[in-house]
Parts: sequence; structure tokens; C-alpha cells
Amino acid sequence: MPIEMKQIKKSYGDQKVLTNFSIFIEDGEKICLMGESGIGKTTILRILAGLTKPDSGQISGLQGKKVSMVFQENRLLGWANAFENVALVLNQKKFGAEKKAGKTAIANFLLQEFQAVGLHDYEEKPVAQLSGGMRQRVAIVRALCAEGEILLLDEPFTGLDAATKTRAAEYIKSRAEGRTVVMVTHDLQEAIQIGARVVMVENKNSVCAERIN
Amino acid sequence: MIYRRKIIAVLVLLVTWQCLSMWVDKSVFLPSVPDTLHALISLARTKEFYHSIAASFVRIAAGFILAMIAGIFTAVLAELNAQIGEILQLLMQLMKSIPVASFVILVLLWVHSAQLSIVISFLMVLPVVFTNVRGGIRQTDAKLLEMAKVFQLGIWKKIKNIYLPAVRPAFVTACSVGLGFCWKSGIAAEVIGLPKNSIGGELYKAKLYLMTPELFAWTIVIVAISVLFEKLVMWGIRRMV
Repeated sequence: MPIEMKQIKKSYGDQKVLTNFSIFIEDGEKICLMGESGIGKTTILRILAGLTKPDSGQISGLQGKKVSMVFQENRLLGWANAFENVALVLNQKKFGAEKKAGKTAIANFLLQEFQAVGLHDYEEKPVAQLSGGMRQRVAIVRALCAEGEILLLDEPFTGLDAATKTRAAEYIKSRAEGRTVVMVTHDLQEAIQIGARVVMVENKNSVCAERIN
Repeated sequence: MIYRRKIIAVLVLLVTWQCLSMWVDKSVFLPSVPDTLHALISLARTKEFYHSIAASFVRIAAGFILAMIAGIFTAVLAELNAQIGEILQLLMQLMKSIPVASFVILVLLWVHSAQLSIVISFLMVLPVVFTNVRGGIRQTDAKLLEMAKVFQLGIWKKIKNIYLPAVRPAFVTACSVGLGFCWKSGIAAEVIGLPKNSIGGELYKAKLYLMTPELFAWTIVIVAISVLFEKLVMWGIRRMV
């Protein structure tokens, strides 16, 4: 079922953020929200994630769907290592009912995932000891390993150098196959890298959702 | 190096004590170090000494453990319901302000003197645990809670991975402060309530018959047990949480 947001309005106190926002997202589609800072892109993601309630407007197509998200700040458990941070959101039943075998299967699975983003050898380190870019990649792996049918990415490549960004984008592209992806970015190149339809969020009172490419 | 400094500190205090007692020159006002040691050894040769320590320890430890459980429970309850939270906050504020002596006299009307130190150490530790644990819960990272909401983490995963690490430092502080409180207030309650087989009762007897070396010997015992109990509990808590 496609996701539709119709005439969404949202204010924080006196500050109007979204005044008339509408968008239609096909099932399994990848879209990229672009636009100037403070225009409400993150608010749109937060509404889709169920973290912020719009003041008015209609949303459909979210019922019963699981969401996973890469936040602007990585929101990892600082005391835990990369492995534990990702294992936390896994559906552990998928890896077998038997505890020991299940744990081994999870370890092997996560090792592959960390390798895919260039994080092997770091999975046992507390995330507080990792660099900003490494933490961001752990957050990406966490979001992609969770069973979310809708994947929300809020500037997921923050703090990554060009090569790592390309690798992370490849990772997202391969793991997000078949899922609905909504990404916020300021960089058109990033949208192209994950193969998303670009939607410009324009002036605060505009009805947006214009296809660029 | 640290141990050397500690040993020197203890020696300095012992020498000061001995000098002062020699200057006062009256054991009934300030006994000497050898007099106190002699009294301690004499006490340690009696069965009552161990009975009193065991009974006081069990009572005060019970009060402390009950306060820990109740403190955590009430703090969680206060955070779950704002109105209940307001009532509990007021109650704890009152409990913190009421002097131990008032509590002791009041509680003596309700319970047998044997249970008095349990109730008093409980009442003294409860507000400390409540305030600290509630503060810890309030300081839980709201952004991590949002993350947990998005990823639909279950309640146990949230408690284990988000709430417990946030509450841990405050809980450890509460235990450390509470341990000191429970011994001081528990013994004070025993001195007033005079239950059978209790350190407080022995302290009172020593005071009544002007056996000042015994009074000092019991005080040393209280300090030693209090420190040992604190070390043991803190070791256990650091391993558990």
C-alpha cells in the first residue's frame, strides 16, 4: 500500500514548519527529500516514524508497517559495542530458536554486514570509542538490519568521506531493495547514488513533491 | 603509595587520641587507645558480643534492602503517574525533613522495639533511593527512547539497554549514601528502643554504667561493620548493574 501525506500542517510554538505538505510514495519506492535547512524535512521523517504528530492533515499507508531509521545524530548506545547496538534491533527469532546456534548465526550475519561498510575489526569496540564516521556507519547497519518495511534516512552520510560514502550508499542500495526509502539530504549526488526520486521541499507553504529526475 | 598514606593517617589519629587521653587523664571522659583495645578484646570473648552484632546487622540490613526495593518501586511509580509522583515527592520530602528522634519515638508506638531499627533504617534510606532513582529515570536520554520507539524495542530491552544504564550512576550514589544513613539511624533507634541483643542496647548500657572504653569499643565495631557492609554491598551492586 502506498504512503500518502495530504495537506500536513505542523508548527512548533509560533514557528510554522509545514503548512500544506503533501506527498505520494509508491510501495518500495526510494525518494529523496531536498530543500533548504529548516524547511521541515526532518519533521516529515519524524511524522512518518510516528515520533511527531502533525497538527492537521491526513496520512495513509503506514498502518501495520514497521519503520527503521537513521537519525541525524546516530543515537547509538554509547556503552555498548557496534555488535550489541545492531543486535538490539534484530529479530532474533529469525536466526533460530536454539540460543547458542542463534547467537553464532547472528554473529556471522553481523560480521558480513560490518564488512560491507568497512567496519570489520571494530564491531567489538564500544561505540563511544569509534570515530563519528564509524558511528554513523553502525547506525546505517542498524537501520538496514532491522525489519523495517519503511526506511527513513536523515542525512545518513554525515561525517563520511567520499569513498566511505560511496560504500555506504552501495550498502543501502543493496539492502533496501524492495523497501520504501525516504532520505533527507542536501547533496544531489547522494540521491543519485542510492537511485532515489528527488523531491524538492519548497517554501513552507508550498505543496511540494516535484520530480526532478 | 595510597595505602602508605592511609596507614599514616590512621597512625596520626591514634597518636592524637592517645595524647589527648593522656592529657585528660580520666578514662571515664576519654579512654586511652590501650584501654579501648582491652575493652574490645574483652567484649570479643563473650557470646553476647556476636549475638548483638548479628542481630543488629540483620535488622539494619533488612531495613536497607527493603528501602532499596521500595525506593525503586516508588520512583518508577512516580514517573509513570504524575499525580502519584507529586504525592510521593511530598511524602519523601517530609520524611527527609523529620528528625530521626521524632521518627523513633513515633514508630515505637506502632512496632515492637525489636523491629524498630528495621523501620527506622528503612525510613531513612527510602527517600534517598527514591530521589536518586527518580532523578536517574528523568535523565534518561529522550533521543534513545525515540530510537527505541522507532525500532519497536520491547519493554525489557528498553529497561536493560536504556533505563538501567541511565539510572545506574544515581542508584550507586543512592546506595553509598543510604548505607551510611541506615547504620547511623539504625543504631540510634536501638539506643532509644533498647531491643534485646543489639549494638544500640550495648552502647546504652556502656553509657549508663560510665564504661567509656566499652562505649568506644562498640563505636569502633559499628564503624568497622558499617564500612565492611558498604564495601560488600557496593561490590555486589557494581557487579550486578
